Amino acid sequence: MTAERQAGPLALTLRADEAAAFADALGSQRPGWVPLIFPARWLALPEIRAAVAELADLTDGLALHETQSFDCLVPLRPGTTYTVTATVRRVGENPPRLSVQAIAATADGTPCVRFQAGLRIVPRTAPP
Amino acid sequence: MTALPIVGTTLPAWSVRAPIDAAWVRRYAGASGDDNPLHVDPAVARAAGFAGPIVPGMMLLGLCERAIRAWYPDAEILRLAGRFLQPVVTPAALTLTGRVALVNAAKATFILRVLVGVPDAAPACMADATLRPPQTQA
Repeated sequence: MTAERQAGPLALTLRADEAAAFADALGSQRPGWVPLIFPARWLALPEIRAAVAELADLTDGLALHETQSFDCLVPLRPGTTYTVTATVRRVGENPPRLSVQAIAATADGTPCVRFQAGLRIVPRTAPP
Repeated sequence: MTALPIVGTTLPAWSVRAPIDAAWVRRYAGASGDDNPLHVDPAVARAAGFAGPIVPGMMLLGLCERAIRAWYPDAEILRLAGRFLQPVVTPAALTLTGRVALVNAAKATFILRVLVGVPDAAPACMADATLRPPQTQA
């Protein structure tokens, strides 16, 4: 069995209030700013979480971010609908590690942002 | 024509305006959807071996983006990649430093290396940003 799961394509409209709340949570009040890292919000989608949970035991473990990257091809704009597709792979053992590779594209297929997360699964209870 | 910085240029330290505390992390968790209990639940964080709730790595990367926007407000950020080196336990006062690591004249881009620092500790995050300055008149 391949340790890989797909999530999406998921159609998502980037709402201006979501972008503003995200920017505000980073301490910025710059009007209209969509942070490059905004797709972090999409990594929390239930479909992507479910794919992560299928490849790692999150009953006894918790996902901890080790790496993260964003490649901007076209800046994200509020009011635009994007199609988000993600591939989750198990890439390591002891400790378990997962890679989440995702892309957000416009409805006509133009890729806008590629983003990748590296996750390490840590035990919920640390060894004594 | 594009004005590129010189390799080794060091940017003035950029400090986050207030310590990152539990309330700020909860606000970020709400806005980002990242409700990982390691970031918001002291008991879960301690059971997992941390001294307390830890700041989400993505939030550190977002602060790197803010610092980059402050240093180079008109440049395009083409890529931002971070590695989370040390957990940052809340509350935490953070200072970000930046240094031009590489210039690619052919592509008219440069790489800025950003370190997120916590007092008396090793850097918590190292991020590399690929930037393209705005075109200027020849």
